[in-house]
Amino acid sequence: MKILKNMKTIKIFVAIVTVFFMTACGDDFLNLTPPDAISDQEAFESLEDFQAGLIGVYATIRGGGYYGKNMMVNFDVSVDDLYAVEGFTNQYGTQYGWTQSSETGEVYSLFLTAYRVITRSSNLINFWPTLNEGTEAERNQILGEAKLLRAMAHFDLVKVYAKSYRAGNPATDLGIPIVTKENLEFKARNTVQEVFDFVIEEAKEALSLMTENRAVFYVGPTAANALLARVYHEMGDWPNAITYASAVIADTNFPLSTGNNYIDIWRRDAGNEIIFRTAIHQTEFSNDVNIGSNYVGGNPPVSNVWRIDYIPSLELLNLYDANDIRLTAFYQENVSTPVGTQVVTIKYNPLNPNYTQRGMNQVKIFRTSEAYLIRAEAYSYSNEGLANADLQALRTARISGYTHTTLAGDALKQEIYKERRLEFAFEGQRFFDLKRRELGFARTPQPGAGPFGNLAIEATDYRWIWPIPQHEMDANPLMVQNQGYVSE
Amino acid sequence: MKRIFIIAGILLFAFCNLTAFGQTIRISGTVTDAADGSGIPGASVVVKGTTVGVITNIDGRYELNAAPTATLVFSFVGYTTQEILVDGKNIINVSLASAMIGLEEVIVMAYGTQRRDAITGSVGIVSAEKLEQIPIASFDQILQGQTAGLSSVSTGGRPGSHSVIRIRGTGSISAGNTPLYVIDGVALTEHTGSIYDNPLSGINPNDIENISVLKDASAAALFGSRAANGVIIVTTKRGKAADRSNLTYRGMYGTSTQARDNFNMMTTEQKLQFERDNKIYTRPDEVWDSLATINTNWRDVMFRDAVTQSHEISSSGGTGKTNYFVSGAYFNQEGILYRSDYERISGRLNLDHYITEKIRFGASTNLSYEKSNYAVAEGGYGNNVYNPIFAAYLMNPYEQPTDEDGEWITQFATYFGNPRRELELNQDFNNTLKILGNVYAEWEPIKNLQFRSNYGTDFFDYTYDDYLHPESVWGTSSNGSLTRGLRRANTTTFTTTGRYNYVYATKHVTNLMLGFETTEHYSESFGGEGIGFASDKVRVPSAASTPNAFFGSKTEFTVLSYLSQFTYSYDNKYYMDASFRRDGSSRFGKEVRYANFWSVGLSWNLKKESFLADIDLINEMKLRGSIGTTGNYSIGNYLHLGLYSTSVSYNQVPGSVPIRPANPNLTWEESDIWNVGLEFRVLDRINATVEYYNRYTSSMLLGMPVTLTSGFVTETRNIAEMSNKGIEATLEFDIVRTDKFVWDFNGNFTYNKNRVEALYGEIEELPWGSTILQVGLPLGTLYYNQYAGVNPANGKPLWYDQYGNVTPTHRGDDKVPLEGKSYLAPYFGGFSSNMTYAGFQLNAFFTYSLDRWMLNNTAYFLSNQSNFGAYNQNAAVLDHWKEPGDNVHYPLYGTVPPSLFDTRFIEDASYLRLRNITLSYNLPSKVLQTIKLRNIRLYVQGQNLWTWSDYTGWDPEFPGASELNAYPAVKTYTFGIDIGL
Repeated sequence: MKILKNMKTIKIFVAIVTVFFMTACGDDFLNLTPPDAISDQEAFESLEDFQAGLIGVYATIRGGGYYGKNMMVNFDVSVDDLYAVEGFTNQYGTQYGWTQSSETGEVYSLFLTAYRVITRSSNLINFWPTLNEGTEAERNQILGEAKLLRAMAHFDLVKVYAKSYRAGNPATDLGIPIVTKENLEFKARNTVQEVFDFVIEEAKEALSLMTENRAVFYVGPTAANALLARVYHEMGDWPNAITYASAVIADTNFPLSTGNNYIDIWRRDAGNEIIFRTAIHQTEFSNDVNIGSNYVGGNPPVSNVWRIDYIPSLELLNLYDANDIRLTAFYQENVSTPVGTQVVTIKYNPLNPNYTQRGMNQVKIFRTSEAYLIRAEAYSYSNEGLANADLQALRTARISGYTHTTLAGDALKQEIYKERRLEFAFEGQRFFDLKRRELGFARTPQPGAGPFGNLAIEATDYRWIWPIPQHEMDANPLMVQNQGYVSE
Repeated sequence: MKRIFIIAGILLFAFCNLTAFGQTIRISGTVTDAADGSGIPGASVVVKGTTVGVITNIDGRYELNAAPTATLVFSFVGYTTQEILVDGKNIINVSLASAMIGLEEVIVMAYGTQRRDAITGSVGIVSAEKLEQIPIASFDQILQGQTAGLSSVSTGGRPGSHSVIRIRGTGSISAGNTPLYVIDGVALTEHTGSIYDNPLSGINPNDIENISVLKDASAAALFGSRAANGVIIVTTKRGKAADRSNLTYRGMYGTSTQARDNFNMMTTEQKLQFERDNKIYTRPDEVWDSLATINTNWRDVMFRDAVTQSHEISSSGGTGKTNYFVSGAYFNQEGILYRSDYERISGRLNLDHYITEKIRFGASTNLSYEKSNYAVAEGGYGNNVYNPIFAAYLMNPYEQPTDEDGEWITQFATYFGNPRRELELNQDFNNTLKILGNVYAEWEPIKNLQFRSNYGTDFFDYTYDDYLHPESVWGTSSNGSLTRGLRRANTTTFTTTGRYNYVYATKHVTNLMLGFETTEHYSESFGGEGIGFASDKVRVPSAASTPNAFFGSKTEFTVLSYLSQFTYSYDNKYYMDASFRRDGSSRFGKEVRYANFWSVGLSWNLKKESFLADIDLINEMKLRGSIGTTGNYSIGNYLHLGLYSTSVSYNQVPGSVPIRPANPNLTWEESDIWNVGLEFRVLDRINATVEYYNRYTSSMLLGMPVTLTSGFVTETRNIAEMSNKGIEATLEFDIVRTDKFVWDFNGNFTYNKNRVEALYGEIEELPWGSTILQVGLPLGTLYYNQYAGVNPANGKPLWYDQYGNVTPTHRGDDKVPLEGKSYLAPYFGGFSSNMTYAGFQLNAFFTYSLDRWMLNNTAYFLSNQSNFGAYNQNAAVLDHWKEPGDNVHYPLYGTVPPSLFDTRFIEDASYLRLRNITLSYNLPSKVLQTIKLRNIRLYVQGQNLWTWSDYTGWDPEFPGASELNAYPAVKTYTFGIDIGL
């Protein structure tokens, strides 16, 4: 009797408990997806998804780690066009003093951001075969832009983290890993030659895919020509440099700017010769995404004193012709600074009323003037007459009342080099020009300049090649550090 | 034949009585609570020496037959048992006194209650009297020092702020370390740690009946995936059957000031001399002279004597069939910093009702509405002179906040603006509505079988309002700005359990519980910012001339759990329990989504053994041990999924970028815990407990660096390991216990040894903020350059490099782990002593924390040798290096590069603090009878009145490694009255 009663109790217990367990919702209850993000499996389905993915790549390019600031400012403060003022805030002081190590923040952020451009464009490229919406031209344009941006990021990385193509032995020198997939696999460094081959192949494919220059803040066929011209110029492949530079110059949509149109490039982010620039919204600027803040003092000054970190070199200023429009476009005299009255660079001091902070400016990545100077340099090896013509064309656009004296031999080359320095001051070019030409530099102390104002760097210095970030050394056993840098 | 049924849910003891032989008489009566005269339902009344007995009904009444010469034993858990000779009486009324903590006390445990003697795990109890009428809004702050193994570190003196609670050390590096809070069966959402959404502040501490702190696997494993950091179970007051309902008013009023102010700032005379000596400012002579006439103490400008007041009315009672507890309370506390305050209105209704004898339902509901003002940029937000706390020290004494007309000065010659004026003009305000409650139903279809379903919710809704006045220095550039946001979050927990008790051959008592639980959480937010206000009289977003930004988010998680527990005891001598829980969580990948957690506990009541039974010296003795696993799922949502974010844009066109790659192996952190404890009571006046525990966290989450060529930086993997081992001791000592005079002491002590056991791969050390994670060293070990003093030759600072050589340069590479100096204290606890004499009661409660080290970051700025000389400085700096040969602590001004920290500012932050001292007086019952009141209690108390510490900063009690601009701790004097009707 007792046992039976107990059995009954147990039965009821088990039955009821079972009911509760049966009502247990299964996996559906636990399968949650975020309302504010997209699964990586569904990120590339429609044409709009691919367009959004491409926008994501552009947004990465304009990040502070890359063209938003670091790709330019790191290298401009490293050479002899800028001097840090006494008591400056120490921003970019590491690069200015050449004390960078594998732990340096900018060494890490440039490497990471450029690889993000690469992996993000690769995702799009790898999903592209599944895209079946839009016209063929639309689809090809998307693929072409992604490929060109991926090529550009590889090219920038190899310029920074490897030996110069011309200065070394590209077939054996370590370049950077070529990446075409987003994954966590360890990747070894390809040779410099392999990276250049990849960049050229991809850029040419991009050129053949793209049909239009959509807008100045997107890349198109002209930007592809501009990149290829830059790459061949870096390699010293003069015939190809001439070919692609000529293609840029031949595009009548991007004539050289003159007069106020040239000043507008810097004051209003507009100007005929801009082939590709960033499109940073006014709310997206910050101290890290603000190319000019260290040159003009970022915040609106409380007083009339500009809290600048860097002043232009007097040596550079003295190289300009008195009638050069670039003196007006790039420099302002008699500015009160914490280190007295100085000439400061206002290349990135905008008039755009929406820019609430000084130094906010779109970064110009390709301009037509570069094609002229690339072609002039290339022709100087084969046809000095055409080289003189290109140099003359550019100077005529910059210097009012310019009369050209025909140059030859090394004098011609030196004038072209000088013109590059004047034209591309604070545009991240001079560091790589010196590296490419295997030259050192020496700073001359000037009024207001602080420590490292007399720094001299030999052409053979190992620091022309940046270290691989320590994070990468720790995480990737296949990675090899550049010579001269100690990795723990 | 006899059987004992234990209905574990509500712990009523039912006796199937057999007819006793011989002549009997009918006896009846009522068993009441000596404290309030209410009937005690479920008390047992047994004829001594027999198994004959009954339990009292809902009103505490009983009836039974017994011999006229018999003795009746009246007992109820938590009360002292009484024996009364029948002596022919037909009516015997008994009032039972509440017992000291003894082995028969009922303890609230995971998913139910347990008799204290049956518990095999480690549980700390904090009773209501420790929590009531303390002038602190959030009860977690009050837990400090109350029970062994629990460390509670206040986040400062801001009203309404929370405390950082750790149970048995810090068990995780990357995941959460906060214990799980369960309030009346409802598990609260994890606290994000933000100062704005402390989930505990909505609860009136006076409503709490008791708190159980579940520390080991046996106690906590039933909470499975959420139990690794321990569980704090809060039970609120409920009504009991009583002849007459009671009504209580409690009021309190007090003032607070800064608890400790160790910095001796320069006077005007000293500061001006310092500025002249170091050529910090150049001024015309007449300006130097006029400044010398001003001497402002900026602490007085920024800080105030802050008022706290609290009023509460509560009532409880019941018929037995329906019992209730209701309370309404108002708590208002000003912060010592101007413009910071906290206000709470809360109400609670707890209700229990029997529909039939077999079906019961009830509810616990707590509503609270909180309003807080924060001083703009206070605390860790601003490391500059606008931070009002910092400004109280950094402002030069020769500046004054108001002009001759008493108007606030806007800007000073040397500073950007007047911090007090900024405080007055700007506003950072929020209000929160919290609903915390549950409804339950219990059904006992047949004896010994009980089902319970509980539906609980933890809801909050808050809005915040950050306003910058157009005329304030901060608001000028935007012409005023207003950010207003809303956030709403809700967690619902639905639990169903079934229990079955079975007793075999009297001595074998078994209990089986099976249960099922679902937890669902969602949280969403929305807000916007507008700038440009025509007038400061309009303060709504729509009045802004330009909408500047808007934002919103939503997130969810779910947990699905199956739980079971089996307990067995033999003859109240040997106890065993085992629990098993299977949890699935949306936070983890499909393949690793479920995990199993288990525990086994044993305990042995030695006093029941013959070898101790006759030793009168020892009243009770119990040995227990447990082993098991618990988990930690306190990581963000969706972290296992490969995701793209669409929050990026370019040229104002939205785009998508990957956030992280899929990480399908991401799973729980698991802790293996074992625990042994010995509890005893000797001389009938000393209770003591000693425990040892070992908690080992494996598969601990750590962000592991991945190749940057992936576009990603780290991937969180279950890879690291860490251990916490410790000893806990608790002592309760009745020093004197006479009718008139009672003096007792109780205290607890914890030693916790933390050790990082493994990081990842061959990596043995990992810099971690201002600390280092290094295998073999405890978590929180500080990591700084070693300071080598001032070079007497030139007044410049010197450091040691990593090889021990003296160097004039401070390099990041020369940081060393400061072994033995962790900011997580290994020793901590509390003790109190209580004296009662003729209605007077004096209680003093101390807490302590030892061998704790911290960077005094505030001192760094107040004795700055690089560029803070423009601001006021610690007067000690006057003794800086002046000429060759000076052998002093402070280097020459201007010789230390900015922002270089070193061991100079590492200090011992051990402390002993008089946390609370209370003197109270209860009016004698004669007086009460004439004025027809149940009780009147008057008291004065002081909070944080005295602190011993070598720490030279504001307060040694700070949860982090580096203290900078923490809201200073406060000391509070209060006066209060309780009136019972």
